This record gives sequence, C-alpha cells and structure tokens, in this order.
Amino acid sequence: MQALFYQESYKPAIELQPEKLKDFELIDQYGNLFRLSSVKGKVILLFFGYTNCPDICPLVLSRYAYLAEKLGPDIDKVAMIFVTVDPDRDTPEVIRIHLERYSDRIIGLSGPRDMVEEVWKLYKVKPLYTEKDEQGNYFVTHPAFVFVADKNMVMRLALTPEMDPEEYVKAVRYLLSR
Amino acid sequence: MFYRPKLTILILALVGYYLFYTYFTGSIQYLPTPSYGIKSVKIVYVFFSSETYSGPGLEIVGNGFLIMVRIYPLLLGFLLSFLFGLNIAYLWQIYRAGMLRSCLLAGSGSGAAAIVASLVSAGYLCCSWTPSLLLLGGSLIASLGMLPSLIAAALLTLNAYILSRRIENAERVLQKIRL
Repeated sequence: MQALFYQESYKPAIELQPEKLKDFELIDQYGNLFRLSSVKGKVILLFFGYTNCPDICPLVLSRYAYLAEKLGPDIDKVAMIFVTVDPDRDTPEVIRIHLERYSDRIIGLSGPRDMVEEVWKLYKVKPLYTEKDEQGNYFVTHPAFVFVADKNMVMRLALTPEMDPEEYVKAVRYLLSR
Repeated sequence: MFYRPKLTILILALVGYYLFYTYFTGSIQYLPTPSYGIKSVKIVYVFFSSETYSGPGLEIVGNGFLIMVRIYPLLLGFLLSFLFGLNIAYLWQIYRAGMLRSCLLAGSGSGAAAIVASLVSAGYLCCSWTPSLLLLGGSLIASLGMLPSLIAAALLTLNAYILSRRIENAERVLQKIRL
C-alpha cells in the first residue's frame, strides 16, 4: 500500500533519461575490491567527491547519513556510494576515517589513479584541481549531482547537495517502490 | 518625498547594474555540466549552506547546465540596483539642467582624498554621490555581506533624497524666474 502511495504521489525533482549504470571496480574503504554490479538489486546512489571538500561533499554525506537513519531496515536495500575525485589524498584508510563521521553504511571508493580515472570517464567526471598552496593543499572542482539508479541499475533521477534531506528519502522510497 | 525620476534612464541603469551585481556577487551562478540526460529543465527550491551564503535559493537544472540562484542577495541586488538607477536618473536630470558641474564641485570635488574627506564631513550632505557608489562597489566585490550592502543602500537612499531635493529646489527657482 505504502509502495503504491509513493509511486503515485511522488514526482522526482530531476528525472534522467533511463540509462544503465556502467559497471566498474574500485577499492572500498576497507581495502577490498568492490564491483558496482555486486549491489544490483538495491537502489544505488552514486556521488563523486573528495574528503577535503569544504562544502558540497559534506552536504551530500550528511544527507546519506540522514537517509540511513530515516530508512530504518530499508537501508539494506540501498547502496550509498562515494567515489573519490582525489585519489592521491583519498586512500581507502583516509576515506574510512572520513566516512565514519557520517555513517558506516556509506561505501567509499578509491584506488590507484588510473583505475579511478577509468570510472570518471564512464560517468563524464572531469575533476579540475586548483594550484597547491604552501601546505600542499588544493581544491577539486567536481560534479555536484548525486545519481540515483533503480534496483536494475538503471539511472532514473538526480539529486543535488542543497536539496532538502527529505527529498533524498522520498526519492529512494520512490525507487524502492518500483 | 522623492522627485519623479526619468523612467527610461532609471530602468536602463537598473538593468545594467543588476546584471553587473548578479555577476560579481555570484547571486546567480551559471555552471556548465556534462550532459547527464536530464529530461527537462526543472526549478528546484533548495537551501544553501556555505561560507558565503546561508539561505533559500533556487536551482534551475537542465541537461548541460545548472543555474544557482541565491534569493536574499538577489532581492537585495534589486533594491540596490533600483537605488543606483534612481541616483543615475536624478544625476541625468541635473546634468540636463546644466547643474551637474556645480553639484559635484560643491560636494566631493575630485580625487580620492576629496571622496574620503566628503565622507567624514558635511560635504557629503551636499551632493556628493561618489562615496556611496564607491562603498557600494566595495560591498559588491567583497562578498555577499549584508552589512556593507545595507550601508550602501542607506547611502544611496540618502543621496537620491538629496539629489531629489536639489532638483525640486532648482525647479522652484526656475518657476520664480519665469513668474
């Protein structure tokens, strides 16, 4: 009944032309090989960011955390993925420590630069790096969208970091109900 | 309270300045994005939380672009642009009446020192419009800061009022001469 309600009443803010997610392999925050297709059957949220990101990424990760809290047991049917755009600094260990602040349900992915670059190409991600300062710090410009795919790994909609956290919950429930 | 301004000049200055304002403050930001297959252009209500701006906004999302609109600075920008336009329109009217040169000389004079001097002296209350514009410019480039923008708005309002009074006085004098 609840599923039917979501199907009929919710209209995604940003709908995408349906497109199959392209499969890839990266290293998760525990150092294990992760294959995207291993989470087929779940609603997938895919975001490209980095741990030193000052504004956008913390927003997305806090929405991931909100989602994990609000969905309750249904979070098992969802894969919240964070792929780094800064593999030189974001080692699996760094990502693990960073994601612990938000939720242990988030899958943080990194790997050797060439491996990660292959994934960026698949998803049209072209990070731009600023000049390093005296401490060697720099910023990375990257896409601000969170791509959301249904249980068949078909991208259906997009979310933005500034959207209300409830929009994330509604979007995921909507796809879970389909 | 205010003399009727020349509308065409006001609107032209308002629009021009508003475009300048939105560009320099980032109250409207255009971000090109790769083509992700977004079906149609959508306007999404959002809440921005960043170092420069926390408040309501709109995101206009389309296939290949994202436009971010920060609502408070946009409204403030409109107010500032209107006041700017009003000042320009009055100055235009003063110029047309052949009084601009005397107005400026009586006010701030010229050069940075005179501008600063006019700020801290009664000279400002004569007709010196440059300090307010200078402050306004500073507030634009610095940030989306509320305080400098409000100071600029106050100065421009005061300036417009002074200019308006000058035009009214000039009109009265002219009428007396005609009589």
